[in-house]
Amino acid sequence: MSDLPPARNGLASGWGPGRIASLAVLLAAILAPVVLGSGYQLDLLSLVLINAMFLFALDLAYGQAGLAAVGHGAFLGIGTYVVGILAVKAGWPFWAAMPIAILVCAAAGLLMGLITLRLAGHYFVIASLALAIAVGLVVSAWQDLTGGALGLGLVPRPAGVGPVSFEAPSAFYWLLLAATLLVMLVCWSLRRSNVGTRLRSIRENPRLASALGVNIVLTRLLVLVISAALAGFAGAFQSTYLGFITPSVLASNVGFYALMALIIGGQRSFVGAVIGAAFFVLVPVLLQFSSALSPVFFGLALVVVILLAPDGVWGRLRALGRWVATRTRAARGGSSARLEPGQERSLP
Amino acid sequence: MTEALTLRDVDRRFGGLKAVDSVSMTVSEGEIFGIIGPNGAGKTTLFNLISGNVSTMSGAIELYGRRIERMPVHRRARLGLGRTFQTSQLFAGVTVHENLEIAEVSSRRGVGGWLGSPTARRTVEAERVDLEAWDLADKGERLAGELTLFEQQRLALAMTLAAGARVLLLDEPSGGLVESEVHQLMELIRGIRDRGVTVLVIDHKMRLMMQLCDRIMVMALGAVITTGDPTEIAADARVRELYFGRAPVRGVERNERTGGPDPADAHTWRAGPTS
Ligand SMILES: Nc1ncnc2c1ncn2[C@@H]1O[C@H](COP(=O)(O)OP(=O)(O)OP(=O)(O)O)[C@@H](O)[C@H]1O
Ligand SMILES: [Mg+2]
Repeated sequence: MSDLPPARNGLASGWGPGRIASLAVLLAAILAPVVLGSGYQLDLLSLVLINAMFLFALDLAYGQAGLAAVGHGAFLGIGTYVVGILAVKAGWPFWAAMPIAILVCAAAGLLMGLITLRLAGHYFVIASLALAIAVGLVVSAWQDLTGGALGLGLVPRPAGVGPVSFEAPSAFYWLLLAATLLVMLVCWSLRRSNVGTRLRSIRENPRLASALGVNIVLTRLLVLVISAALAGFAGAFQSTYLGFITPSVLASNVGFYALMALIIGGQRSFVGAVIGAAFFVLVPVLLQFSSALSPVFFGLALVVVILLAPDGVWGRLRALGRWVATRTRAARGGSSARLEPGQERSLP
Repeated sequence: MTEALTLRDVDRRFGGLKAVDSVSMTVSEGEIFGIIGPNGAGKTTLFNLISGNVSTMSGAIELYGRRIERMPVHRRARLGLGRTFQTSQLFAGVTVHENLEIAEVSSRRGVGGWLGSPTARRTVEAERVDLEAWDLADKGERLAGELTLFEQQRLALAMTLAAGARVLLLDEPSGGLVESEVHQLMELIRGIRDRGVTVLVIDHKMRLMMQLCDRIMVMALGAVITTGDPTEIAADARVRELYFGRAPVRGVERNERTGGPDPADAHTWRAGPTS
């Protein structure tokens, strides 16, 4: 047993419930337009993808770096408006405006991090919220540029690449899916890199981490910048998805609800973030008859999750999956009923 | 001989309390340097000043000739300063293997040091050798928090070396260990020194300190009383006064947690180090 190298490599650690669920979700996501057609449901699913990108980004800041980014919606909103303004006012194509949105958000994240990350944690929370409110105010006030409360339109769909056009809802949906997978890949690589290892050490024991040489401020700053950039990327897609942009995309509570949704879905997990994104998009839709109910429902769901499933919905499901796997293995008379510790960690 | 660590007139007050009062000392490379003194003498505070967990009010600290007293903790660590803590000295919620991996990754530099992969440089073979050296060979996939105290101590030591420590600060490493383990610990610390690492150690177990240390510094009320080799320290009248007479010890005479100097060790003071 001890002769075997430990299975630490995510790819080598077999078929846990996480991997199976991820593949099932991916397959369902690819086939969705075929099954659903191109109506309202595909529209909602597209919105889920955009918010999944945003929650992946948010999870880097919150789940991985431990930053209570309650105002992270600001970066999503900035990305949305940068692409909107460049497209509508200056006639820029999406593919040129999107990198600018990423850069602007990264710069905003850098500035915010430089100011707050050296200070105690609650300064970051306040700054995050302040940024979200300030950006909303600026957009409402700067009417010439943003259209103010009247909004801004129309942001065209991204131009086609070669023979591929993104005008059709299904084609645009697949583009969003590709973008979502790209964001996932960035987050996954980061988590598996030395940055991910440092983040884990900071979460576990910050005093020991810095005694071993981990620069906590710099590590968090790097992750915040990447997270803000990815949120801007998601915002760029939100811009072309909406077509018509109003300041509601910058409501200061967007980040707050997104954070709740992430915790409900399950932080530090891609599947959890997708569940959170679905929750985030679908709850207001399902409770359409009374918009006042939606915040109440969010709050209740959060309380229930925190009490019954501190790792979120996905954390609970995964534990259930492990339990079932253990039972079936034991029933088959396998010698080791216990899962390798490495297996649990390497799940997506 | 190369000076590994030098302190000049280092001060630290907490309110009106002079926790460390104008301390100067020099530790040579490869030395095992002991620090003893009654509870509240300022020993741990001195370590905190050296590692950067507490900031100095005045004075200079040099690590291999480089001024470090204004640097943040992680920069001092990267220059080769390692330490263990009296409590929660591990990443308790992750495995032994991951603890070592974190320690090794935390000292990497450059773009690869950030964006490279933790497994890129550390081979399975290197880790196996490491685990065996610390007698943790079959514990790689155990959670660090589940280890026995002595196993945790060994892992903490292994981690400081994996992080590249050249000067090591050990605060009461024998705390909570039984007699036979204290003996093994002593051998491990000697082994670390033999790898060229300079060791500073605080401990209340006099027998251990007398046998282990090349030199010992005695502190009381934040100040240095004397420094010398174990025989000189055992014979010093002021030290004996401090430990066995009515010494000016701040606050309680005996610390509940550590029990203060172990009376069972008292004979080593009179007889000098036994080997
Ligand atoms: N952060 C702090 N704030 C206020 N006072 C402190 C702080 N740290 C230490 N002190 C005080 O400084 C003095 C020296 O404490 P220190 O922990 O350095 O002693 P020590 O020699 O390590 O004692 P022990 O043998 O009990 O570990 C004590 O009186 C302690 O109460
Ligand atoms: Mg102490």
